[in-house]
Parts: sequence; C-alpha cells; structure tokens
Amino acid sequence: MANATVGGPKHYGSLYTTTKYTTDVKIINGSFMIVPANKLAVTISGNYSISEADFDPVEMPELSDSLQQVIDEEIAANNYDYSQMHAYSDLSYKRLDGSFKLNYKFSDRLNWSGEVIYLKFTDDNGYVYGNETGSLYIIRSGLEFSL
Amino acid sequence: MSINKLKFIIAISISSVFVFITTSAGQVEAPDRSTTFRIGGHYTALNDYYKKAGEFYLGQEDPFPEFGIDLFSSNNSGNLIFSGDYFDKKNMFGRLKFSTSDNVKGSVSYRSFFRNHGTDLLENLVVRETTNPDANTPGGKMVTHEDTAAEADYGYTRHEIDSNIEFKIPLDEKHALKLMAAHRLIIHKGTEQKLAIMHCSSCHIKSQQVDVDRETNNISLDAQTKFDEIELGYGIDYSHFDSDVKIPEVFYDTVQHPVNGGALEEFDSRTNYGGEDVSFDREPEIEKISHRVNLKIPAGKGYLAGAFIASSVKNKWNNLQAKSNGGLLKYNVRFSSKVRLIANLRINRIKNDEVLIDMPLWREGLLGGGQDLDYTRYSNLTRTVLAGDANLKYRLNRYNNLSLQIGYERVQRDDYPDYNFKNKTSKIYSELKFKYRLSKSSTLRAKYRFTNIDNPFTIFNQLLEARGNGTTSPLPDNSAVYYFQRDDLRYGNAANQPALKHHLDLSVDFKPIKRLSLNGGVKYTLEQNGDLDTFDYERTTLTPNLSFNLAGGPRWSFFGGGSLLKQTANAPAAFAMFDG
Repeated sequence: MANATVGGPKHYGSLYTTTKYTTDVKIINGSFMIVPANKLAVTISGNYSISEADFDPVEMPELSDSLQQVIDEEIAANNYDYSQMHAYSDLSYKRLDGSFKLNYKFSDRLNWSGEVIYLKFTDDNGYVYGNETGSLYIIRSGLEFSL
Repeated sequence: MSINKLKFIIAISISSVFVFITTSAGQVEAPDRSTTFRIGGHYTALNDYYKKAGEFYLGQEDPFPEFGIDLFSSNNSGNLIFSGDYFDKKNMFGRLKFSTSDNVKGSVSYRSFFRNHGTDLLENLVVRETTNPDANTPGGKMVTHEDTAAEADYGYTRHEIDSNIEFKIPLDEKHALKLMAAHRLIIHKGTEQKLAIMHCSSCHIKSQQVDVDRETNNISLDAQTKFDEIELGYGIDYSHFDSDVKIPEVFYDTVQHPVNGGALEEFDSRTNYGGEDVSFDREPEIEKISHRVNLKIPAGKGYLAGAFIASSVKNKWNNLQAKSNGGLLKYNVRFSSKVRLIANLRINRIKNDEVLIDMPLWREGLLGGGQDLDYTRYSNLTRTVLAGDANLKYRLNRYNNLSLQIGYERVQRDDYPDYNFKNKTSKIYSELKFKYRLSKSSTLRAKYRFTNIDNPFTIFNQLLEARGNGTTSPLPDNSAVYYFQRDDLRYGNAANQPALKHHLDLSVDFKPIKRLSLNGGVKYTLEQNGDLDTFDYERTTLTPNLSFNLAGGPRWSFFGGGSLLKQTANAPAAFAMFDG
C-alpha cells in the first residue's frame, strides 16, 4: 500500500464489502401432435421461461469511530447510502412462445395449413430500455400443392 | 481485395451455377421431378411493447402474402434441388443445391431476417448533487442525458448469401484431388443508437440515431488429397469487414467548471476535446488472412495428424495488426479392441501491435503544467499458449465404457500487467467419464472434471484506494493533486476466474415401456479462488433437467421437458470516499 506524501483533496480510502449475485432460470417446453381424423393433423407446442437475477443487499462494514467522525464532519454531504444499490440491476422476465397448428390433407397433392403463433414477454422490473412487456400473435393460413 | 471485386466474383460464381444448371437441365432425359407450391398469408397483431416478444419479427400489423416453392429434379448425371419461402419483405429464404455424378456439387443460399433493437432511454443517468441534504439544496454538479432521436425505431435487416462448390478431380484410378471454394456474404442494413459520453468524466451522455450498413465477406479455398493412408491438405481463408456509413459526430461540451461555468482555460487544458465537433465510435475496416496446412499419416497402430495455421488480422484504418502462428498435433492409437489413446499437443503464438496513445500536454501553458502523458498501450492478447492432453478410453463391453483424461495448458502474456512482465497462467485438469448400463432399460452417464489453475487472470492493484490526502508522485511546481495521480494509491486484486474448479455431470436414460423414454440429469459446478488479497471468490452453478418422449403410435406423440439454472457468485462492492 502506498503512502501519500503531499496535500490534496481529502481522501479517506475505500469502503468495501462483497455481495452475492444470483441468477435463476426455469424453462419448460413441450409439443403434442395428434391426428384426430385421417386427413387432419393438430400440433400444439410451447416454451415458457422465467428468468430472474438480483444482488443481495450491500451491507458495508462499520467504520472506526474516529474515521466515521471525520467523514461525518468533512464529507457528510456525499451521503453514502447503499440501501437501494442492490435493486439497480434486478431483472425479472417471463417469456411464452406458443403455437397451435392445423394441417388438412385434401388429397395427395393438396394440403391446407393454418397456424396461430402467440409470443408474450413480461418484464417485471424494467431496465434501461424501460418496461418491455408486450405480446404479438400471428395468424397464418396457406395452401400447398404438388405437381 | 476491394468490395467491388468481391461482388464481381460472387456475381460470376452465381451466374456460373445457373449456367451449369441450365445446361444440365437441357441434357436431362426422363428425369425424376417433383414441384411443390405454397401460397398463403399472415396477419400480425401487436400489443404494447412488441420489440422484445417479437425481436426477430418485422413488427408491422399489415397483412403479408406468403409463398414458397420446392423443386426437385434428378437423373443419372446428377440432381437439382431448389427450396424457397417468402414470409415478409425482410424475412425470406432460398437455397439451390446441385450435383453432377460424384465430381461436382455445390449450393447457393440466401436468408434474411429483421432484428428489432430497443432504445436505451438513459433515464437512469440523471443525478444532481445536493449541497445541503437536510434542506435538499441542489448543487451544480450533475449527470444529464440528451436523446436527439427519442422517437427512433431501431433495428436492422440481416442478409446472408452462402455459396460453395466442390470439384473432385481424379488423379489416377485410386486417388483424387478435391478442390473446394466457399463464399459467405453478410450484410446488416438499418439503424442503431449510439452514445457519446463527454465532459471531464461521464457527466453528459448524448444519444443519436445512426445508419447501419455493414458488410462482411468470407472466402475460403481448400485442396485435399489422399494417397493410400496419407492425407494432405491446404486451405486459405480471407475475411473482410467494413462499414459504409458516415462516421457519427457529436458536439463535445465546452469544458468549464461544472458549477460556476468559469475556469475555462484550466478545465480545457485537462481534457482532450471540448467546444468542438468530434467523430466518435468509428467502426474499423478489418481484413483477415489465414493459411492452413494439414497432414495425416499412419503411425504404428494408429495415426498422427498435424496442422499448421498462420493468420493475420489487420485494422486497415490505423494499420494495427495481430499475427498468430500455431500448430496442432494429434496422435490416435488403438492398443487393442478395447483400449484407445488420443493425445493432443497445441502451441500458439499471438503478437498484437502496441498502440501509442498520443495525448495533449497536461495543463499546457499553466503553472506546474506541461506534463507529457503519452504512453504505449500493450496488448494482453500478445501471448504464447502451450496445451496438451491425453485421453485413455477403455471399452469394458458392448454397453459400458470408461475414459480418463489429463491435460495441461499454459498461457504466458508478454506484457501483462505491464510491459515485459510475462504474467503466466497454468492449468492442470483431469476428467473421469463413464457410461454404465444399469439394466436393459436404463443407462447411467457420469463425468467428473477437476481443474487446478495457478495464477488465473487477475486485475492487479485496481480495486481499492488507500487513505491519504496526496500522491506519491507530486508534480513539479504544483502542490495540487489531480485524479490521475491517485492511481498510485490504488491496491487490491480482483478476479472472477477460479483457481479451483469441480464439475460434475450425471444423467440417466430410462425407457420403462416401449413407447416412453425419459432422460434426467444434473450438472453442478463449483469454482473458487482463494488466492486474492481482497476477497475469496466463489461461484456455484446447478442445472438439473428432465425430459420425456411419448410416442403414441402413428396418430399422436407427446414430448416435453424442463430445466432449471441457478447460479450464485459473489462480487466486490468498493467505493472511494473522498471530497471531490
């Protein structure tokens, strides 16, 4: 550790501790396909995830009485407060990707398919991009024919 | 090679393919052909903020037509396959594959999609000091932000064109020379957000919208041949990246006392830019060339394979260059029908150019000023890597096997943390892995890996600041102490790299009935570093998973699964307490 030799701005060293950062991700997914009639196929599939990450609260150690007194008197305006610091990077997201698809076979050469895709994102905390909660669904329909 | 030349080569390549296809199709007699058309459409409905949920969708509520086509044509002399789908104007795909006998084959494909980007609202960058917390009296020092394009809708379209062709040239009845050429073109076009951070520290952040127009070209040429049991090959890779947009500019604030707006000369003499338009966030023009030579020869009961790779990457804007030369050696030997040894040796030398940071004189023309703060920034990438491992595999019987691997890796960084310090990280690891059939319907797989790292990558003497109202290196004729001089009083090492690592991986396959298969497993990793002089680093990662597949016959099937990830790591929180 170096020692300062001449005067200057008032520095009182570093206040220091450690904290924990925890990431928690849960994912389930599945796909079910059934042919209820000879010409009809139904497929339902989805993926759902919950992702969370956060710090434990930052708890700084007690300073010595003499150092605390100097800081209170000389740099108290800096108002060292860590009570909300751990919440700054809290992240909490949920995401659902779902699909329901029908396929009907008119003949060996002609098929019809229809699909609904649903995507939903839930942002429980918001981050620098603001609250990103939103969803969309897409309805598709089409014919396929072979020559 | 210029972009225009590359475009010319691509155009010629694609044209050649179509000429070949047309010619081949004309020669076809009674080919096996099939054609499938698709036609339809889709409609998208958006709710609230759609850019995250639909990150890779166009994000327009308009109806769009969809169409697609599959073509297949085959005869004795070769085949031709085309598949293409149009989803919307920024999301489409097409691929053409062809082959003629065994001597020529190739493909050309195109894919595009749109990617939405969110806008950093900068709302977290608003702070103002208070000179009297009790009365909540505002002070003059503050952090502010400014968005010059608050309504911008950021995103870009990614286009990718891949082409490759392979020729097989017979040398004699037994041997052939295989020539391969491939090209990949990736283009990004759209807009994005760029931030300029200015003032003496980071007190004013200015956001603006800029265009995106990036182009990456990769070309590779390969020649491979085999003489009996000897294989020999050579390849060359060329990559080029460039951005064809105007370099963004921002007006850097006039440098002045943050509270009273005075002391212009004093503050201006301490900063590089102020009161002027400055170019920022310029993207580099990158060119990379690699040569590869590989050889494989029989050796005893196994074979020996080696490769040499030399590459250089250059930023053509400033002529900075990194060069890499490396060699690989692999020995694979079967001692018996049950025992096999695979040993690898790898050496690599990377030299990255140092950069002279040319600074204006510190407080030029002012009393006690005029210091030359120029310095050379040496690269942590300049290093020598030496690695080797041996993996002994033992096949107990038809269903069960066991393997043991040991390995060593050493990285020596020439100029880290300072010039010619030769900081060295050594890693020794061992891994035991086995597969064991528990019963006719279940199999257990297990792996344990232990890694010991001596001197993992660490940031030295930067985490904390010593108490003291001065500096160890005062400036001549100047009793004041400036922030940069406080670096002398820093101490404390920090790292998020382990010195010890345990990794366990267990999984079980279980098939209780003919139509149902289950898989479950768990991975656990513990990483620790107790060698720091500040804190003991620890990270744990736990990932269990479970999946099933139920095949109900020709009429239904059901599969699903789930997984968890829980990771906990500790990290330091350190603040310098000072009046400034």
